[in-house]
Amino acid sequence: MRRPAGEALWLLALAAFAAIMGALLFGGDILLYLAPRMVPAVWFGLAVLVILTAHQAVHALRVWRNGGEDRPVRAGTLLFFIPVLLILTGTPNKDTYGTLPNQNVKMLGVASESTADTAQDSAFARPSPEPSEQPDDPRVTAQSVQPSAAASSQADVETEGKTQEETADSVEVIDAADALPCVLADGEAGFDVSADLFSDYLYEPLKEMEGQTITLYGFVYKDDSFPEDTILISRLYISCCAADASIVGFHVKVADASAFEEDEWIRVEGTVEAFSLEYCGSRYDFPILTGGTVIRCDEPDAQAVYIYP
Amino acid sequence: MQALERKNGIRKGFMLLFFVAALFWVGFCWGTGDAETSTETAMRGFALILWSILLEALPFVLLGTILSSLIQVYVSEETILRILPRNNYLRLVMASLIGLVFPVCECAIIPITRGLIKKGLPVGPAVAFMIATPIVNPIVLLSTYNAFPTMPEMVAFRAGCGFAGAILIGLLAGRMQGKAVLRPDADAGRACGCGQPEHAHASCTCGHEKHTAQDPAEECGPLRRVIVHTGEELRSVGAYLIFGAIIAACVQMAVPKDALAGVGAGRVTSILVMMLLAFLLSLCSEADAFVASTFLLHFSGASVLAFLITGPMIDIKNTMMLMGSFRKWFVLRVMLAILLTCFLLALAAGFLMGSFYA
Repeated sequence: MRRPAGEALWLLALAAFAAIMGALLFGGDILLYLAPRMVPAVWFGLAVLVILTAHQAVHALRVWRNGGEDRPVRAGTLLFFIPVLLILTGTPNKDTYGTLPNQNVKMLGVASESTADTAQDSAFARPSPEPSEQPDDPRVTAQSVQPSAAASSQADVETEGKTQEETADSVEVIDAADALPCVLADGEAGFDVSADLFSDYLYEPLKEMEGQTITLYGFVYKDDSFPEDTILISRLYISCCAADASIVGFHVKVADASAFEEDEWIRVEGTVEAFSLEYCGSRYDFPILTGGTVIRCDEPDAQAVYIYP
Repeated sequence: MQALERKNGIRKGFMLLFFVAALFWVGFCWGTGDAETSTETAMRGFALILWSILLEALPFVLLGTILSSLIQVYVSEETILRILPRNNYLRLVMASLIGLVFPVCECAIIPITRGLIKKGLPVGPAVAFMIATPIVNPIVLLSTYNAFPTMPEMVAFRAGCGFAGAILIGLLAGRMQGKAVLRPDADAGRACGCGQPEHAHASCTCGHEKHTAQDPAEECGPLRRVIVHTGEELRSVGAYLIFGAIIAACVQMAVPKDALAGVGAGRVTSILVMMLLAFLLSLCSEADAFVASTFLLHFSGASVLAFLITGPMIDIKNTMMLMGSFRKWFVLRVMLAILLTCFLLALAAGFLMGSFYA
């Protein structure tokens, strides 16, 4: 009795995919790969794969017993084993997010990566509703919409985008003996936005946030285009799957950005102000956390946030 | 003969494995030339991206193969031709509009389109349906609206360009109807599931050319035929999906987006760069708007729109899937038509957008 190699190989491929999808779903690791809203689709996929696997098992058995025609071993069938081998040899975990290259950065409504001439022609590069005079240097200048905070904030910053002379508005770094947890207990900090800010509040109008004292946690992201006193407290946000992950961040005014390591996790409590970014001929308003405290903390288990949880 | 075919299959398989391994290493060395990044770390990153693409796409591919199988088993050619308008232009418009109420993305649409063509749907409307649905379906438009909350006009531009592009490309594809456009092996299901030797497949009514049963009524019931078809479609389309996902993951690991952003200066070149990026990244049309919104400061609105309309129509992943279903000459011509149409539409939309904020 000849062994039906082609049928067996296809059965193995189906079973392997079903097993991996099942393990990810039942183990909860599926959220490393997909946003929660996509999970029901994977359950559906698993159900179909289980039916196909069962059917193929019966079919292969009948071919084997009856000596029926075996399907050829195709290169396409072997391709199914590449992802299977990959996930078996190097199972991704939450730390893998830190190694993903080429992520775009989103700063609450507008993005920044590098300047390009085309943006000057951008039909969608919208100026803020009431653009003020634009400085010659296309660097960041701090300026609050609220007059009281604005006066001091604006005066503290040099137009060349250099370090602030006065750091009264910067958050104060508190060095704890032991790393503290990033995730706060409910109600501990008054208004703990944490992950919600980066998802539900992503498009919250800036005006509604101004003046509020909030607490955030995330990893540090730095960019050459930022002033030396500004970092981005960031999270990785996923709309569908890890392949479309981008970094979303909230500016924090610090005394010295070089004191922070890229990707280290911090928890910041501060007051939301607004500052304007002059970019390619247009001015944009960003929220920035000022005048509070920052501590270094342990990275949380749930690193990503999702646009549609 | 079968032994020879098996040997060829195994040889091709090893060649593919070698190719993929080489691709991965090139991508790894190029993209993460950082000494601190270990091979294992890069491997995990690659696996994360690859599996996230597969887990996102596979359920929809399965949905598409099931719908395609249902069409094969339950819908007759006469039914399809009866519900279509007789006028060719009306057919194209109707096929493009179906996407408005048909919430499937580009992964699911290819098996469905193949099934419809096999059932006698003319190539032009079939291609228009395939092009329009991943763009104009309600989920995609809603996600676009959420990704561009301050500029709802982007939704209108995306839907309008998707609709217009589908009709134009459908018209062009309709002119290629003279020859068979489906790959012959796309029709070949080798087994009907009954496990009997020496089948005569012609009377199984399932649409396959090769598989048969001695007594089709007994051996191939409708439900079983749907399962068999779904498995065969998955085996065919799934392989191309995996191949495309592997290349897309390599590209994501290797090609720095900021390097492309640097290239993308100028009104025309920025459109071309964003079209290339959409092709290479192979994002799901339900998610690409969020990524596109992050490019707004570096690229013109027209080029971001080009990204939004090109990706759902053609990318690495669905090019591979198209290659698995259609003849190469057809795929290449459709690709060319898509790229040309998207470029011209984005350019035209750029002028319209400019007038908004002038």
